[in-house]
Amino acid sequence: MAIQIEAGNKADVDRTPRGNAVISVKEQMQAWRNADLFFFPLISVLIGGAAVFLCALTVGDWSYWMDWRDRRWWPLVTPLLLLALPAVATYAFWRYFKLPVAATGLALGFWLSQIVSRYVNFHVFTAFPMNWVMPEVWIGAAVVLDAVLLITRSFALTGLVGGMLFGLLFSAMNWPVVAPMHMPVLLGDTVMTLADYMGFQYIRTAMPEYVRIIEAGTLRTFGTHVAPVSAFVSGFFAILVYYVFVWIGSKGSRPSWLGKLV
Amino acid sequence: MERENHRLVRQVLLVVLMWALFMPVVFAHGEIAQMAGIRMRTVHWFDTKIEPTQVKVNDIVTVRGKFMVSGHWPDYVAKPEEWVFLNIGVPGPVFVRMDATVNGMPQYQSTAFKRGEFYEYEVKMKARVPGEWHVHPLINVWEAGPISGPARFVQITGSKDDFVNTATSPRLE
Repeated sequence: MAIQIEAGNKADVDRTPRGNAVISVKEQMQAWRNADLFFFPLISVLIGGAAVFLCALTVGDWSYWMDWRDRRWWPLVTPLLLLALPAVATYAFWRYFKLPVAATGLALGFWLSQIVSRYVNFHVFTAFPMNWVMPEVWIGAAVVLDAVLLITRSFALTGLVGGMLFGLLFSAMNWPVVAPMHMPVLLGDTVMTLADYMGFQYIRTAMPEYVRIIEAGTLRTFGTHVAPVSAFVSGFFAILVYYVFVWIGSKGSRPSWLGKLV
Repeated sequence: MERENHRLVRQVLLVVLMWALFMPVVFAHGEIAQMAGIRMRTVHWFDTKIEPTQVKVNDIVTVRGKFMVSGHWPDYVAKPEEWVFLNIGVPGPVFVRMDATVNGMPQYQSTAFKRGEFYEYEVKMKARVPGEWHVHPLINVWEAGPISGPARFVQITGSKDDFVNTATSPRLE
């Protein structure tokens, strides 16, 4: 409990036993800072871990491997699944703190967690090249989502405009990471993308063989006119995902839950 | 009560110690771990050669041999005529696969193998990560999983930093 100390003799204050560990405003502030320093990293790690786990369960291989980032499923499925947690957190942060930062913060934390996960699990432990397993980036799309909420101050409009933009921009914003993997290379006399070439070379033993055949019959090609169509479809579904998970956030962030837990 | 707790802790520590001391080291697993029905009724491997077994980083290891896809393929296993991929069983990309052929034809992506047919394969790999690695030929069957062939240990010496892997871009002329 915070103790309000009246202005007076500091030596008396320091000596006065009050039955509390905290006996001055300065100590109170320090206690709050210590709590922040302890809980914020802990919560960040927990949320980051939850997000990475969610991504592993749902997006999985589309996120892990560069040659899985095809023109159809990756731009469609990934943003839909990545939008869930930010939508939940957005409700809590906007409803209780009026802070339109939840999506951006989560995207940043998620990306950092993913980098650590990919570096340790895929690069150090199993020796895959880092550029082959780089996580997708969606910080920009999250910034747009938060900006739309800041401008419109409405969950309905944020879902409609921000959700659509989130799905739409995801593929485009990752293009700088994916584009180099389009470079044509030769394996024998077969022309392959660099992504498929690395997919053939860097052996994935335990993976099911459909690792190689998302689009049956051909090795995958990126881009072309299919990618924007996938992005638009993803945008439309993202609107629905945003609304559903904002609703879940509204139920899950009720203070009554805390009362029952504590 | 405290004495009982200490006793319990000592017992747990003893079990952990015995487990650590007497647990046999597992070097590899694979074809032996597969259930008998998979081993005996799916892919019959023979004339398997994995050589050389002592290499340096950047050296080539060749896995070659033959297999017959069983005509008595179990009903409960997905069929090899759907999608299969000739793969290599190694603990991660400790080698990079440079080339793969089946019956002399390039085998860079998934294909179909017919039941009752014989196939001859060859996979060339470049050594990448130093260590002693268990290498299997492997066939991944869509919706069934990997079917491992016989394995050999291959020892790679040298430094991973010396590994070189180049790619050729097609020239438009």
